[in-house]
Amino acid sequence: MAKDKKRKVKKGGFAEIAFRFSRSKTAMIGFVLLVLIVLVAVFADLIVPYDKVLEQNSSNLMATPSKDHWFGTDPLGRDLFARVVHGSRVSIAVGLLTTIVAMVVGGLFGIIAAYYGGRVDMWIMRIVDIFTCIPGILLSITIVATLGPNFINLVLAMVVTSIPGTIRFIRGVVMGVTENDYVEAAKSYGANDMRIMLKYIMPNAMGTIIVDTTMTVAGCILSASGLSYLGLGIQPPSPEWGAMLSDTKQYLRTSPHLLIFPGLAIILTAFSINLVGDGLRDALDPKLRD
Amino acid sequence: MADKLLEIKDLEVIYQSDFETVHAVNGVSFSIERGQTMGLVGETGAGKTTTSLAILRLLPDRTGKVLGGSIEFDGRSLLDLKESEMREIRGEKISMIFQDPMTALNPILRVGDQIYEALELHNTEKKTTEELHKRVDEMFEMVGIPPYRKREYPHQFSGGMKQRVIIAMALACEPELLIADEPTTALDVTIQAQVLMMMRELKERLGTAMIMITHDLGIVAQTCDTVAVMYAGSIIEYGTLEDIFSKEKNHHPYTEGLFASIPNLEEETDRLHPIEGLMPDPTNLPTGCRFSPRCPKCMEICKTTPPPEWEENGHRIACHLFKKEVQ
Repeated sequence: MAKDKKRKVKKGGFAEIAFRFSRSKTAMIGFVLLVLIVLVAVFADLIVPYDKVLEQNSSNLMATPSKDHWFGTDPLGRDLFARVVHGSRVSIAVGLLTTIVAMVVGGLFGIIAAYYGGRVDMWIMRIVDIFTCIPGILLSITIVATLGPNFINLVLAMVVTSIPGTIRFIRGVVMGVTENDYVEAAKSYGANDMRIMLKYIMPNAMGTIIVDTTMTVAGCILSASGLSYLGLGIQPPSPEWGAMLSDTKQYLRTSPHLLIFPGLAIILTAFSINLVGDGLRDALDPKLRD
Repeated sequence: MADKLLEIKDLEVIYQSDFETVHAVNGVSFSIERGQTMGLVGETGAGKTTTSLAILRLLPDRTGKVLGGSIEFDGRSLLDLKESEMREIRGEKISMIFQDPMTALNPILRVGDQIYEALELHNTEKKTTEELHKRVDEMFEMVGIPPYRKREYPHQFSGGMKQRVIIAMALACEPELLIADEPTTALDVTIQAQVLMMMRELKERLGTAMIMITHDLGIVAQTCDTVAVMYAGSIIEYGTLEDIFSKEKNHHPYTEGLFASIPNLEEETDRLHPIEGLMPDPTNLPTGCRFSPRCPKCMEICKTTPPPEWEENGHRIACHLFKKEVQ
């Protein structure tokens, strides 16, 4: 992904892509939303001090939204708004980091497997099969339990579990692209494998991969919450959107706002990333340029 | 004659899969001199494309295998070169025009950049970026596309224009041999004529030798110096354009059949006369002469013994019919 962007910038096409991206209303809505969410994560301390996240008030449990507590309070009387705001840091970091690492590593192996085929493909895919045999959640639990629960290990566990799927997916996309005549044509005028992969296969496969990537981000936020629920992810009392959902799900009937706000945060993040992804795919596709 | 550019001897190529072996090319021999154009004619599946892919060593590596024979280009044996040496030959010395212009261009690269790529890869003279870009402009002008269109993408071009881009790309490094694999099949007739005319002009200007793969005898008549007719992986008749097209001379029954299946403006007929039957299954070729099951002049000996080669002034025919006459 990074390579592709760099190439466009170098040839002065970046401005053109940015322009075409900005012309799409939905993409811009997504982009603005995503920027807002990222700004919230970056400036969380300026919006609400971190003390508020931990401050418990046993006389005011599960309060509905009010002037003092915009999103109400949780079962321990902590301010939900502060927790959602500060939770964005962890959730977005986990979602993005996991996806990027999984895409880079999975992409590398996927493209190698598909392009070279034969024995290389066989070995990579058999190893992928081994990983696919182990249920993802069990694998994550094992990794975190062995290495100890912290942010890095959480990301590592999720990367390991999502890489096999990524390899499989990218291998499929790349195989389709490799079939094209222009790949053979490139060989016929003497391009080497590296150039063919970077300039012919990767950019042409990028559209499909970008869209899939944006879907993965939301999935990662949710699976991180699963691990947090088991006590293997982000450790309480640190706030994390997924963990907030699972912690309070028994209050769904009585105090739905406890789930609505963190849930909304996850949905908005995923939604904005999907919109940006769609817009990016369209902006990168020369067929839609005029 | 003096200057042989490409010489192929007894080339044999198979496609091997787990369950069957496809005998795609069986003992093909021919040679091309500098600046000469050879037409490679035959039905679909006769092994024309496989032969050309073998020359460039681009056969699918998992299944395609060269069993025997030699390919000598400019005194070097292509089959013995290392992959990296082969890459230097591809594009620079030998380049190929592909059948379908619609898919042979990378859809996300500007057409100018694609030609630039080919130049950049074989930039042995260490030319500067500007010089290379100037060369790209020259190439565009040469194939009749206004250079300002080089910043456009392949989908903005029509089929004929795309084929021009591909031809420009193939000729950018001034190769000594150009393999054109049915360059006009995907184009409509008016554009076909334009593209062919252009190719002929360019070829004359640059002195490029060419292998013109086609199943259109009209194209052969327009562009070629020599013709090789392929059937089921072998060349069954080879000769100069005149040898093949002259009605008085001897011909392989298959060649006769090919000509008989072209509509003739001067004679009045209700129907065309196709050659009866189909190409033999290349996994299970008939013994003896491979054309024997469809041959109207088939004799007993044809079914058992491979035909000898009859030759007269370089005009070669592989058929039992003429063996007798010579005796």
